[in-house]
Amino acid sequence: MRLEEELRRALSRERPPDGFAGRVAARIASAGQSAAMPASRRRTASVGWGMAMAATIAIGTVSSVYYNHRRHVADAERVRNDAVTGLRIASAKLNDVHERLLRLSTQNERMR
Amino acid sequence: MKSRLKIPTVAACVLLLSVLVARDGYAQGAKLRLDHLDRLAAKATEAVNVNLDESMVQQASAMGGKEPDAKTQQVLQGLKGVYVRSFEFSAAGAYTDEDVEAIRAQVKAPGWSQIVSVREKGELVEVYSWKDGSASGGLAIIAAEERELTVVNLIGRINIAQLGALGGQLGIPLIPNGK
Repeated sequence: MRLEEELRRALSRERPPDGFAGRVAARIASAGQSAAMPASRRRTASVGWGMAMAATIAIGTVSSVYYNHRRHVADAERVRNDAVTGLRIASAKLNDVHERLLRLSTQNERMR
Repeated sequence: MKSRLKIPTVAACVLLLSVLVARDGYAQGAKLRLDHLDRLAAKATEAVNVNLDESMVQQASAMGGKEPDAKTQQVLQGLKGVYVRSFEFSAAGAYTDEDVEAIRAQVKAPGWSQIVSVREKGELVEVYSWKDGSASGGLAIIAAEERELTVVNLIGRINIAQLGALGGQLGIPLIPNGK
């Protein structure tokens, strides 16, 4: 019963002190003024954003050019390695057949 | 009258067809079909597959740097194509006679001539040359060993002595010039 009375007293409607509404309004107005950005600062911010975007685009472009260059170099290296490998195999097989011919002709001469 | 018109039309068609077939055969020239060997890669312990057309060969020969060296570049400059299939197998019998015969059948075509053929102990090494007019226009090497099959097809101007000399870089004896 006592708890109920205490709750009712605590939650009962009270009149705000005199000038409360005025003070709240004044505080809201002052907060709005401080949040508003001066024009010079806005310009600086937009220049900053512009520079950031330009830097992002520049980095993206440079990365793309570099990636394409690396890919081109890798392709060229693969082609070069394939060419060298192909010719070395061809050369090795030619030398192999040459050795076989020499060996066979030596064997034939011995048999005679 | 109607039948008279038909005979020349049919003859013209046959002539056109034969010209196209002959042209297609000529266009193939020194280039061999090696695609049927590609399935052997799955069985091989080591496989080399080189497919370089004229633009790629030119790109490779024009590259600077340590490789290709001057000798290799000299050989590459005359080439219009480098096609190699080389397989090493862990056991014998991984490829069939038909695989080899399919290549040999192609080098029996007009234009090809056999330079050398060595058969010993079940191994076969053959070298064929393809003439483009009076000049060398292509080379084919077939090396069929017990556990190894290599087919090389080079297209373009080829100096065999120069090509053989590249082997010296691998510690293999050089083919003497003029042989």
